[in-house]
Order: sequence, then structure tokens, then C-alpha cells
Amino acid sequence: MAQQSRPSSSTPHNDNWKAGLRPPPKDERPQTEDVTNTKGMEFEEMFLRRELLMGIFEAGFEKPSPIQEEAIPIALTKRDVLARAKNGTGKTAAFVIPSLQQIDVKKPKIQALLLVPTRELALQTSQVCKALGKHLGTQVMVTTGGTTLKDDIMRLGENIHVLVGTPGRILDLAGKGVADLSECPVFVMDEADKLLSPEFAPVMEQLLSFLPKERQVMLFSATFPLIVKDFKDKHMKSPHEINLMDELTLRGVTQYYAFVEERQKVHCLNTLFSKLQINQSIIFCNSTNRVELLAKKITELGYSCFYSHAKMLQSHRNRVFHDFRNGVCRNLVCSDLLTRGIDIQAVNVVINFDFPKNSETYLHRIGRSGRFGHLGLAINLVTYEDRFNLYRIEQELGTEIAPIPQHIDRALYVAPGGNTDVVTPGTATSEERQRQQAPIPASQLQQQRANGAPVNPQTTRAPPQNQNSAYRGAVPVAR
Amino acid sequence: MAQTFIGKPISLISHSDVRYRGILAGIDPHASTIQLSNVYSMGTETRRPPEQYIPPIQEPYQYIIFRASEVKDLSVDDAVQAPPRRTHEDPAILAASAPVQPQQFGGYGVPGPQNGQIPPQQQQQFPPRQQQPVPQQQGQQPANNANQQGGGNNRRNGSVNSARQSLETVERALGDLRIDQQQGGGRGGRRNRDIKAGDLRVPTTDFDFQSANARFDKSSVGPTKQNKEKEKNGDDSTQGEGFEDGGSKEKEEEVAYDPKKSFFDSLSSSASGSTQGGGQGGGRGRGRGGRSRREEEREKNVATFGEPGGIGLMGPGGGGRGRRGGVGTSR
Repeated sequence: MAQQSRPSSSTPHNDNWKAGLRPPPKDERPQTEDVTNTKGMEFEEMFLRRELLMGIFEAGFEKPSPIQEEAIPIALTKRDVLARAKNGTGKTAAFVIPSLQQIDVKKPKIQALLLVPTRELALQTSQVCKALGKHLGTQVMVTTGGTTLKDDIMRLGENIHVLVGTPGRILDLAGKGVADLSECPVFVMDEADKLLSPEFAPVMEQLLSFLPKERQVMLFSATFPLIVKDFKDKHMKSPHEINLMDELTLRGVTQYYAFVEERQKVHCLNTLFSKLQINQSIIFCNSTNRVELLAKKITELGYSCFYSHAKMLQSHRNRVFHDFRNGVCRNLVCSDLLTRGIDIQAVNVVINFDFPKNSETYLHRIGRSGRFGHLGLAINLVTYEDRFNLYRIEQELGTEIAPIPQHIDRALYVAPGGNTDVVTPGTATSEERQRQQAPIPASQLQQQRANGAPVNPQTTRAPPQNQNSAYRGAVPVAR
Repeated sequence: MAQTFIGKPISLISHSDVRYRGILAGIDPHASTIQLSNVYSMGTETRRPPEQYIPPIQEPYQYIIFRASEVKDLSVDDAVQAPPRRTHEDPAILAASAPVQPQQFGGYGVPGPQNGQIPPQQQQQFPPRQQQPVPQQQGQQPANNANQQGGGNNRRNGSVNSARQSLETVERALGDLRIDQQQGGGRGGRRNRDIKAGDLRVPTTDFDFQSANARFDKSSVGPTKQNKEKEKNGDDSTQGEGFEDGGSKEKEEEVAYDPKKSFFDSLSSSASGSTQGGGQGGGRGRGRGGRSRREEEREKNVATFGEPGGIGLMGPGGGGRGRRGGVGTSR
């Protein structure tokens, strides 16, 4: 529990404060037990500050998801935490909420450091922080590579409570003495295994040296390879382990493969576009060149798409991420840049145009659909060369990737009633559909619930599609 | 490079839009000429408006020297040789061997129809069997070519090592062809470069998932791979949290994640190559050099997209912008 004075505490008998809240419309799409299998805890029972609760409910959270139930109370005791939960089941809020709870706003110091492996993820995480901490008066700053260091330095001259960013830039700022981490008691690593991969690990070690000895270290991910154990043994004090993964893959995501020759891939994709009911899709390629080549082809085929990869200007990457999230475009072609953490709830189809080479990448890629227990589809174009990888990934993940059937049941990946964009296969070509209709704006379907749990997932029908007020996250601007 | 195409059937289009098919007999970089033997003029086909139509000619020219600068396009034609040869060998066509004097055309530009040398009988013969090269799988037989191109033989040994400026286009075209050939296809319609790119043009019909999947038996992959799995996962299990006795080891190797046994997993990962266990897992992972990998990718890109793709705006190795903040890793 926070040792500083809590200006207010939430008590169940005083509910007036809830009246003034304006939560987004409910997302009534069906959900799997990956997120509904809770113990029935309420946010109000977690001894959170009222201002924080207001932010939580206004962001559309209703009840904590399983990982939030488990992690928040423990994290509030300042214990180290090692938490494993599936993709898109609410990990971000599980560490943002306790981090915010522990901030003393009157203290002009960085009090929580949240590290993520990619810039887009940093933007997304900082938005969640800002939304949840809206009524707390916490100052949240996001900093990543690819932006002007000068702006960051100036911003750090102001009062910052929560620093979110990618390791390299933060190390840069800490090393220059610009970011003062000496009184930062909370150190969070999201996608922790990625942050401990060889490319990042040395940076993490250095970063830790800037923090006080008394600190809380929290690691979150869906995958925890043994390399993390080394870090755990070295830097964590009897961490509380939370593992909510009986299995690795999401219940709501159906996986198929289509066997193709390399030269048939574009043709195959074109057919998929015409057959599938894509609300939004993310299409993965294995290299930046192939991302660009495929994006060009898709455009030539008459579909709209965005693309993003690591060699693009950061400002362009941000633009794409922001616009795709807001439903400006239906398809996004990208490299493994966006494999982890990205939470776009309107994505119901992931296509591996190039089959990934390892299980970790595969698992995180297909986790871009089926966010927060919703339904989704993962389609893999598999060549003869990929056959061993296909087998290995199936074995390692303990999952089955079935051959794509002639007809894919829409109930597997299209939310009932939640989609006006109905096309019966065979009646209209996807060209017509995709050219003429904008995708359901992510802001409508997605409602940026930031992974809050539903109250009663299956009872009511979806709200009208024209409520356009849901997306409350700020425009992602790298500062 | 172009030499590898000597002896191969070639389609050549002049600036007059007349297409010639013959055997590439030689390239003379000094004189900037291309020699074809056993050449059929196919006329303008559909490249010109009807009023400018030049019909094909049935009899082959034994030998034509083309001025390289007058050549618009060149492509290797798999299928073309077979049909004309058949004609040629048809005993009924006695006159087919009627030689057109080579020297008549010696070295000067594009001979043929547009020079008014259209054989008189061409009008009747004009119903052109050969107008569209029939896409035939096994049209091109090196042995046959060798028979046909006698004259080219000595030129083949001629020096074509350094291509002259004027030949650059042709060389490049030939270079493209090689890629085109690799990507293989035996598919019709790659007579000129436009179409060549369209080799990957997406068919209007739906991709047939059923029959494609029928060609792949996923279950057959298993056993062989399992062996690889074993050796690969060998080092993982030695560092596993719990240790396994020999008996259960085999089982352990198949399960990369068992929450009952360990919080941690042994999933293959992008990092596993270099990180598994300090010092030991060296042999695994992506050992190939960056360069050959790049070449491999370019080849693959051609197969998938019909083009190799840029080396990257930032140059190979992807240096440059925006990377310093992220320690080159903020992907």
C-alpha cells in the first residue's frame, strides 16, 4: 500500500463520485475465459485512490481481468512480481494501475519507470498511463529513439512522475544526468523477455544501476524463456510469480495454414481478401523489403493498406500507427516491429504472409488479433520451406494449425451483430467491399477499453455503430 | 553473362516493333551487334495499330545481324523453337530451306518486312499459326539448338566479356531474363518485359486452397523433424529448472512449456540462437552471413513479387536514421 497520504479512499458506500463519470460505450463482443475467468474481484476492493478509480472507469474498465486481479494487489505491497499472462489479457493495466497508485504527485521526481521494447508500444503504454491517471495529476512522459533528444531534455526539466520508453533512449537520458532515476522506486519491464534478449540485456543492467537499491522490479510477458531466470536470480528479491497460462495460445484465435508456392502468395492473399470478413487485418512479412513490396502489390490489387517497418522515419511510423488504430485503413503490412504488445481491438485477422521462424514470434504475432478474449483468425501462408517451422511451432506451442477449409465460419472471427460490414462470400467481391467501405473505425469497435473486463459479456447486443466518442486516448505524439 | 544465352532461342523486338525469333548466335560488343540464326520474322503482331500491321513471314532467315541500338527488347523464349522447327522439318515444305542471303542484310540494322522485302506469298500464308508462341513446357532442347546454330559456334568463343555501352540495354535485358528463367514458370506470356513482370499477375480466379493443401502432407513432416528437435533441444533441457532423468527426457523435449514444471519455457525464439546458456548454444541459430542472406532474400522477393526490392533506403545494413536512441534495436 502506498505510504504517502491518500487524499481519498474509495469506499463502497460513497458512490457519488461514480455518477459523473463518462465511460465509453460498452464493448459487447463475446469473450473467452482467457479474460472472463476471474475471481470476481472489483477495482473498488483494491484500495485504490478515488482519482485513479475514476480514470479506470472512464477508460472503460469495469472489472479487473484475471491478471489484473492477481497482479495489482501483490504489486501494491511493493513486492517484486514476475507475471505471465496471455496476449491481450490486460497486462498493461496490471502494472500501470499499481504504478500510478504509488505516485506521490507532490514529489517532483520520476517515481515509476516503465520500459517496453518498441516505440509504438511506448506510445500505447503512455496513453494508457495518461488515461488511467487522468484525475490523479500525474505527469507522464514517453521517450523513445527516433525523436529529438533536445525535446526530451527540455521536457525532463519539468516535473515528471512516470517515465515510459524504450531502453536505449532512457539510458541515454539517465547517463546524461537528465533523467533522475535515483528516487524511482518502481521499475517495470513489459515484454520482459524481449527486453532481456541479447540486444537489450546490457542496457537493462545499466539502467538498473541508476535506480535506488530499494526498488520494486516487475516483469510482464506472455513468454518467459530461461534467459529471464538469470535476470530474476540476479536482480529480483523473492519475486511473486503469477502464471495464468495453462496453455500458450489464445482460446479465441483460430489458426489455419494455406500451403502455397512462393509465387502464389500474392494470389492467395488476394483470394483471402475477397473471402474473409476482415474488419482490420495485420499482415506480417519477414523483412522490411518484403513489407514494402507487398504493400505495393496490395495497392496494385486495389486494396488500401498502410505499412510500417523499422527503417521508416519515426514520424511516419507514428502516423501509420495512429491512423490504423483509428480505423483510417483496413490493412496494415508490417515487419516484426509490431509483433509485440500492440493492442488494436478492431483487428480480427492476422495473416502471416511469411511464416515466422520461431514459436515466440508466431505466438506474439497471432496475439494481435483476439485482443482481450475476443475472437480472431490467424492465417499462415506456408511454403514447402516452412514445413519444419510449421511442425516445430505446433509442437512447441502445443496447438494445432489446421489446413484452411473451403469455407471459414464467420462465427469464428466475426462478432455477432457488432459488424455492419456484412458480406456473404461470393455475393460481393472484396474489392468492392474494401474499396468502397472504410473499415469499422477502430474507435467504434475498439472503444479503447484498455483491457478492462466486461460486466456481463454475453447478455446484451452491440451498441449502435455510430457512437463515435469512445476513443479517449491522446493522439500519440512522441515527445 | 550474356554468353550463357548463346544457343538459346530468343525473341527480339526491333524499334519497328517487328518481333524476330531465332537462336542467339553471338553478340559482338565492338560492332554493337547481335546475331541470330534461323530467324523467323513474326511481324508486328499486336504491337502496332492495324494500319501499320506487318505480317509474319513463314520462311526463316538463316542468319541476321541486328544493330543493338535498334533492338527494343530481348527475351529468351522457351517454347518457340519447337513449332517452327517442326515446320522446317516437314518434308512437305520443300522450299523452307530457301536461303535468304545473309550478306543481303549484313550488319545493317533490322532487315525484313519493313524494308519491303516481304516475300510475295506471305499474304496467303498469313494466317499465322505461330503468332502466339504456344506455351510448351519442354520446348527448349539444348541439343537441338546446338544443331541449329552452327554459325554461332565460333562466335560463342568470341569476346563478350566486357559489354559496351551500346549493348548495355541488351545485356541488362538478358540479365533480367536469367532471373525470369529462374523463377521458372513455363508459363505463357513472357515475351516482352511488361508481360514478364506480369508473370506474377494475379489470376482472376480464386486461389484453390483445397488442391494446394492437398499437395502438402503436414503429418509427414513430423518424424524427421523430431530428430532435429532432439539435438536442438538437448542443450535447453540441461539448463532446465528441474532436471530430468533419462527416461522422461524424451518427453520433456517435446513440451516447450509446462506450467506445472516451470514458470519458464523453452520456446524457440528470435534470441535463442545466441543466448541459450552462456557459451554453449553456439552452433544453433542463424549462422549464415548477412550478405548471402540478403541475396537469398532478393531471389525470394523476385519469386514472390517479381522484383528484388530495394536494398533499402538506408543502404544495406539499415544504418541511418532514428536508430541511435534505440541502440539500434527499437524495432
